[in-house]
Amino acid sequence: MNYLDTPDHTRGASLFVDDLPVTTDCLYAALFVSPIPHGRIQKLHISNAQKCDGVVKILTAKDIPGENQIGNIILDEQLFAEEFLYFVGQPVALVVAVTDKQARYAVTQIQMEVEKIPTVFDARKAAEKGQLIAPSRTLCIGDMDSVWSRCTTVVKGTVESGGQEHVYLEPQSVVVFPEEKQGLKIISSTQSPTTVQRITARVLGLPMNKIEVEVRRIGGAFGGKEEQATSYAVMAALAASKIQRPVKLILNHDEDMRLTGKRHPYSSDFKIGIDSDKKIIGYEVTYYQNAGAAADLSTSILERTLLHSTNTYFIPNVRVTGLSCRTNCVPNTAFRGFGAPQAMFVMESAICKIAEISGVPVWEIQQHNLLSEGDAFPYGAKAQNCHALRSFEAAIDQFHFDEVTQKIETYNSLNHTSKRGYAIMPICYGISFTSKFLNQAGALLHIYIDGSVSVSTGAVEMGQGVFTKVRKIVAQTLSIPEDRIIINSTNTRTVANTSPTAASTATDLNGMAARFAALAVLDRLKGVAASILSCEKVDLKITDGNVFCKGLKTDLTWSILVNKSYFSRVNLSAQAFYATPHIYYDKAIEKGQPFSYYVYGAAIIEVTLDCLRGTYTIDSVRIVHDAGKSLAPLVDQGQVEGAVVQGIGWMTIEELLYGENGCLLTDSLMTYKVPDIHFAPRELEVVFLDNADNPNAVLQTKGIGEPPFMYGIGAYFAIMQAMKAYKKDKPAFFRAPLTHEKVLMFLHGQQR
Amino acid sequence: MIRFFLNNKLIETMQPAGLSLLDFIRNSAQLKGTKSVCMEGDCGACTVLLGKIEAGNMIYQSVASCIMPLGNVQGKHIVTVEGISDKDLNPVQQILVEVGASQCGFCTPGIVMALTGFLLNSKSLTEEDARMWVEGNICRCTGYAGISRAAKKVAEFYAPRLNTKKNRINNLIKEKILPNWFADVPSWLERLSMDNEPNAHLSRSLPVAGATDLYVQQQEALQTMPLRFLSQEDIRSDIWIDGDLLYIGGRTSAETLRNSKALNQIFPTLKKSMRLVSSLLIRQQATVAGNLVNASPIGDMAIILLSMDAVLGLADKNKIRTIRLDDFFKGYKKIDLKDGEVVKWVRMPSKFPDTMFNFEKVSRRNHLDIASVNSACRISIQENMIKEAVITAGGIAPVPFLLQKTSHRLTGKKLNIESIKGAAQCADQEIKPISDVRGTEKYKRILLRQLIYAHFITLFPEHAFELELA
Repeated sequence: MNYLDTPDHTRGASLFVDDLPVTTDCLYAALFVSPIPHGRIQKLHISNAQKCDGVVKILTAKDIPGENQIGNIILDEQLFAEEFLYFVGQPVALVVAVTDKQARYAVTQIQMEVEKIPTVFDARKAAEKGQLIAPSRTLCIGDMDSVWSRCTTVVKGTVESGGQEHVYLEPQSVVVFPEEKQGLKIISSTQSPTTVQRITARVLGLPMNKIEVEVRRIGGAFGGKEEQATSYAVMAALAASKIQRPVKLILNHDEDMRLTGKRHPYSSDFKIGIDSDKKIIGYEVTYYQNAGAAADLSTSILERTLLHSTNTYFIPNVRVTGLSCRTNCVPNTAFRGFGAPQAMFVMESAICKIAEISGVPVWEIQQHNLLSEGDAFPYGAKAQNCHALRSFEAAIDQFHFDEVTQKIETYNSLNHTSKRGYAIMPICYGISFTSKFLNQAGALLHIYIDGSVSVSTGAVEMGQGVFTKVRKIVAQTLSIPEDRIIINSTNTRTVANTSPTAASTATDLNGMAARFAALAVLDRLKGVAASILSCEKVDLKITDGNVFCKGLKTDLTWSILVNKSYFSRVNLSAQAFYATPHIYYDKAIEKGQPFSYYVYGAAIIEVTLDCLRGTYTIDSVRIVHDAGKSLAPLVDQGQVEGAVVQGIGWMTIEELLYGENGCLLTDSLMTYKVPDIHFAPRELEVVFLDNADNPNAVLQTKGIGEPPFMYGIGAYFAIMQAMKAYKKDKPAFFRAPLTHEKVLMFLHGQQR
Repeated sequence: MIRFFLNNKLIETMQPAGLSLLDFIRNSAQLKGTKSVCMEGDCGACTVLLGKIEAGNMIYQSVASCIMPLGNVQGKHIVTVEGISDKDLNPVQQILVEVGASQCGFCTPGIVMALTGFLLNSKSLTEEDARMWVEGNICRCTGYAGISRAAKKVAEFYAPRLNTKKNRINNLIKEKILPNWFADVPSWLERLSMDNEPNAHLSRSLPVAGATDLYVQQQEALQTMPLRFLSQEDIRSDIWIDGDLLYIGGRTSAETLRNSKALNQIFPTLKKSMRLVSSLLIRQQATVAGNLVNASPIGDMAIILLSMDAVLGLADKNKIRTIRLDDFFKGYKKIDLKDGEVVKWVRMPSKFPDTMFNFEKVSRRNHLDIASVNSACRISIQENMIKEAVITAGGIAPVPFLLQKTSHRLTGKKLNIESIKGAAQCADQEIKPISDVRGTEKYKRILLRQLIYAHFITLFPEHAFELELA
């Protein structure tokens, strides 16, 4: 395996935004933000701050030459607050100074007089007041009026899932250089270079072609830099444009945790019914999504929630409704899984509840209801190339599920203060942006006279290995060694109108575009070879840098062919474009085929509970994952491993706590705990499902970034099962994260 | 002026002694491989190695450079990722790449340094040791699977090749993990230390030892404050026995305490219990005395030492005043320490005949976290009677708390369920927990009860108390 970026990571030689050399005239910016969750600005006093050492300029809404609007899907978010404040952390002013310390000090000298307005932090309360980001949406299939009477067991319940902080290690970072003719070069840690470009143009009142956005790499993103890198880039661009000096804006980590949006907390009501055959025949949910104070990507996230409401199960009668509720929290945003994890947690909670009531084991209900080929999702699309049952059964077989359950039952009968639990977590995740227009990508490929190749795409490298994969695709397509190919920084000048690197689609879209570009040049090269060798193009093949004619090696090598092509005045560059075919969705009837394909898999999670102290250990996670035909197995394995541990963190120890005034209390790694090496499962096994070639993506692969996150949901149910092994008659509850506190209160809360 | 070696370069700087080492590395020395993330020692992205000569040997430890003041590196050797990197990857770097231990790369230099520190300094080179050396490094991408594979592979490969602690540096040079110039570092440092200026004594200046708490709380202010670096003073950093008394030097690190043979003889599970205290990265840097002076109501070492009848020796120049640890804590973050005084040592009996100890801690995350509630128990039993019991707890009062009433109540009682339940009830009357980010009041009350039960269940397995208590 060839490694593109990681060798330099280990040498400390990979440069991130804050590592880039800047000129000595570079200025540093720091933010003054709203200290209250809802109110009206009466007076902003910046004169003291302006007098501080090193302060060059303080920018507010008044300094914006274009529109003070950074909303993307819905235009409801200002760059700087003008009159109203909607959440703690909302930007009000930007201080620009000679040093970072001076800028931060000056921020403390700004005073603001405010009038407070009553607040709403709870999604359900916001819904009661009619505070919705957009009208509610409902997906429906089957006959919901008659279904309940056909059920043998029907249960209702409420499910809560908490927010989640991204904890990308590199904070939001940007540096902007002013250029000639009002131009700006923005180097940003963003997943969406084009969004940065577009919104900067809007706020500065400039055409997009004046603005160049470049991303070399990102130090982790997970969705947190899809939409929310934009505002910082725009602010720094505004400052650089006004002052005509380079401006750097790097949030410190605590600030980043306070100011930026997180995974959406959801509160949901479900009703589920099974028949005598253990088939789930009715399922109804209302999701209350806490969007925060502005739309951000909330409506798209809620859409994905609705589309994933039934996870990997076939349910003939379904009605799911989603409400995106406007509150006075920080606007929540994309996070790996994009609304699907919240939906799947409700689905699995409903199964857990009906299993508890009906006495049927959870895994039996799961297995009985898995999607089969041709089964319809609630939005009408049919499962094709469906691997739901195959991956579930593979997990059961390969990881000896029978032995696991037996071993755990024996353990629990022998141990009094320690109990073990297990859960199977099957998944089905749709790949494609649900906004159809985003499913497009461009690539630009150059072959230089010496035969070396340079590739640019719209994909951003953030550790997920997309550059490694694109390079493999181009190397395989041209049949030359990977080390002859470089992948360039993502730049809006080389590839325009890029979609965000998100939705697990980066390789599908950009890899395919790069492949198309490579095929185009290859065809021209073959034309040159055909004339040199006096043969037909169809008889030619390039393998490992050598030209073969009718299967026989010729004297022509890749380097010679490229050189000769140049002298024959053949175009050695290609721009190519890819748009995902066969996807459509009609929101009016909530039916269509929004996804190009689905990713399946199943995980078995085992945990041990310390019933005396109310603590738990995640012992093992074993996964059969459908990765299509993996192009880079180590990269894919790493994506699965990282995602599942993030998912476990969301379900267990990662808890966001707020003060009564809406301030985030868990605003540092000291108080917001993400998994560490000891918390991560000691045994983490990933097996790729065999014979899972995917005809719907480049080189039979599948998108991999998000789906495995949802295996982590199993941790909740494994711990809950262990808790119930200790407290047999106590009903399960569904309020994630399942912290040590919640566990202890369940085990010992009532007893005196 | 502060003088030290940064990789293979002599640094002589007039930067303030309160500046963080990370700030110096990234902004003054312009070495960008070391990353800045949490600025509080909770992530390990800024891990570097600190080398010094101790008893004639060159010793390296890993440190969180974000909370290490420049004043503490006076006369030392600092190694960043650039210092051990060449064009070709060294074998440790190669392993990290091959097993998929790096994704976005932001935590990677810290992991490289932590594993290098492991090879340089760990006496035993097991997989478990290697994992401990990276336990202070947070990674959000890999789920630690790749990092675990790397730790295992590094340990398995090098354990037989570096079987002795002797000549470790030379052997690591031979293995091409360290560059050749590492062999010359001791001579560089010796020359430095000869003309090292003594610490300027400023009576009103703030004493700084490990700095792991100070630099989390008030990093900005410390850059311009007059500081008194205890690393430059005659305060011991080891543990010794003098007659019937055991002394812990004022600069002794938490990790030194954890590994103390003398203390583990008294408290046989100390070494294991102290794994729950922070991470190895921070335990090497943080001092025991700092944990006491910081007076956090949940200080792990304060809770342990309170149970051991610790007495502090507070020094002002040559005068030493003693005070019982229990009396030292006056109120929330208030201590009986006068301006100019520093903790010279912590003292306790060197023997606790027929006595058992136990330490319990529950936090949001089992490791590298601050306790919701912690508790230590010291107990001696004679013929099934409790001769003496001392129970301490943190997180349930404004100070690290000695549960006096509960301890008295147990003393002289029979060792049975009633006594234990009675103690737990008494403790509930004695404590005043508050709701905060580490848990609600109600939770902390129940948790302390459970931890008191846990003391007895753990210490007296033959009684099978769990059957009735849990």
